[in-house]
Amino acid sequence: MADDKYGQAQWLDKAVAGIRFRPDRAAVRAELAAHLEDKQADLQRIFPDIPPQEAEVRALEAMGDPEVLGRELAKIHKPWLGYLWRLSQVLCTLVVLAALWGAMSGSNPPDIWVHTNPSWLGEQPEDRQEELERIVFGSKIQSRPLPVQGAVEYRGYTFTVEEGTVWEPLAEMPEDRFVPYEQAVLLTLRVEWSRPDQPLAANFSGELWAEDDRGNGYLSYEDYYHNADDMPRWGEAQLLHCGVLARTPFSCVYEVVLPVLNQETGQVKLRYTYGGADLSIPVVLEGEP
Amino acid sequence: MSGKRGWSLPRLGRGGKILRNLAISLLLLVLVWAALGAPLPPSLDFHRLELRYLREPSQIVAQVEQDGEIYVVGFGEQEAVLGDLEGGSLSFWSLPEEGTGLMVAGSDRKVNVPTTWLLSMRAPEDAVTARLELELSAWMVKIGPDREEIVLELPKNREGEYWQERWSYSVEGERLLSGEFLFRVDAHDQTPWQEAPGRRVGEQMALAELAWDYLYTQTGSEHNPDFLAQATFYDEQGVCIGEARLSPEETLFCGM
Repeated sequence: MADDKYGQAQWLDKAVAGIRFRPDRAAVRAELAAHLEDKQADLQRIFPDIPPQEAEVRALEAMGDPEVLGRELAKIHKPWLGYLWRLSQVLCTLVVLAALWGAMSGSNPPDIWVHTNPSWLGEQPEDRQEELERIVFGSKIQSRPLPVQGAVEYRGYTFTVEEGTVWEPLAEMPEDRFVPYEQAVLLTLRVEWSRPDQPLAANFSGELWAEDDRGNGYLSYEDYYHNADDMPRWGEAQLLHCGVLARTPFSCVYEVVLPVLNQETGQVKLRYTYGGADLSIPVVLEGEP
Repeated sequence: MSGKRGWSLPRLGRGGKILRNLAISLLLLVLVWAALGAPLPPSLDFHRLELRYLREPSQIVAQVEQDGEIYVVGFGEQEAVLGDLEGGSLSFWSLPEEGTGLMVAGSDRKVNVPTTWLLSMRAPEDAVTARLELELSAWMVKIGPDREEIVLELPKNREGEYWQERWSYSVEGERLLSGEFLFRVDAHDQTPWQEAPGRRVGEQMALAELAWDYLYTQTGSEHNPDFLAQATFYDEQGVCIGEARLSPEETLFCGM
């Protein structure tokens, strides 16, 4: 005689009683109930004369002891994993809603895009040559590539002179030049950092100054134009231009134009010393590119 | 059924789904954090700002809030660093080589400020109390089609009816854990600037001008606004053991 110790409902309750995470308990119960239904249907198909009640009892017998099954199911369906899953669903939903709300409310989007600016002297080499002739030399000039430079690491930032050109006069320069520069360096300086929330300070370009191996100093833009008297220092040597060419969350590329006083200068150093910093980026002017 | 099945994503188990949800959440959290300006607690934000300026982190001595904006002050070896966290900039005050100095722990980013702060630099070690006396004066004129907008200006730059106002403040300093003293200066006129005629409150504009930029760039014999701040430091017995002064005339700034 079939063991009708448990009805189907009781059997299912017993089998899932050990599963403490309620959603899992409900899901497993439904799955076991489906299995029982399948078994019952199979039995009735094989033995068409068997009463439905007996088919149910035999199906329950075939599923085994619900307490033994319950212990195995409890081992598999750990409650902490269930709660963690639910938490991850809630967290994901909340964060998606927060991101959507932020996007729709017009808050500042993260600066993840690449920004580019045009070159100060011009995009074409001939434009740059023309501008340098006009601004710096007052006569025709020729160029040669800058030698390859090494990278400088400073306080978590990497400074690399990517490429550059040295410009020198072709012919005699006018005597009445405003400042007697004898060559000029045009280069791109790449600065890289690892954290997107830690870009180099915006004042870098305005505070960058230079010195050469002959002891000459070249004032930064800020020192040249914004000193205590608020008057430009006309006639003094200056780092002519440092501007942003391109910016990403992890890097910034600057265009630097530095006229140099002596044609014999073999090396200059780009310096940033604002607020006690002591950055020095050597740029060798002579040598193989 | 026949034919090849198209490519489909692998079915994830419970653990895989948890990891997927957490990864998505983390990514979006980072984006949301970045969209909010990558906020950090003020002390960490200050040190992050110092790193961006390629500086060694300094020792934080004070943190103040000026009209809703947070400023952090750190001391280096020779300089006091004022971090304007909202504006993302640093300014520097020279620490006195001997004696005690005074600095302004705020900036002139806003036109009106109902409150500003002064901070001692190298207060006497035995000082337990301190008092600040501040005399402030400013020439003003009203401009604009309705003559409602106040500007701070000496009476020689343009036509108009100029007048001068003076304010006095006497405040007790708050001794900080660092040993320095913080002086909170509240404007007598606390009218919200939004409700003031021309959205300007003269006294609050004058207080706002007490900043490094103003002191560093002001030259010449006449300053507007003009001020003299004097702090006196006392020991446990109430004996005066030190003084400090700050004014456009008496302080030299060496820009760093």
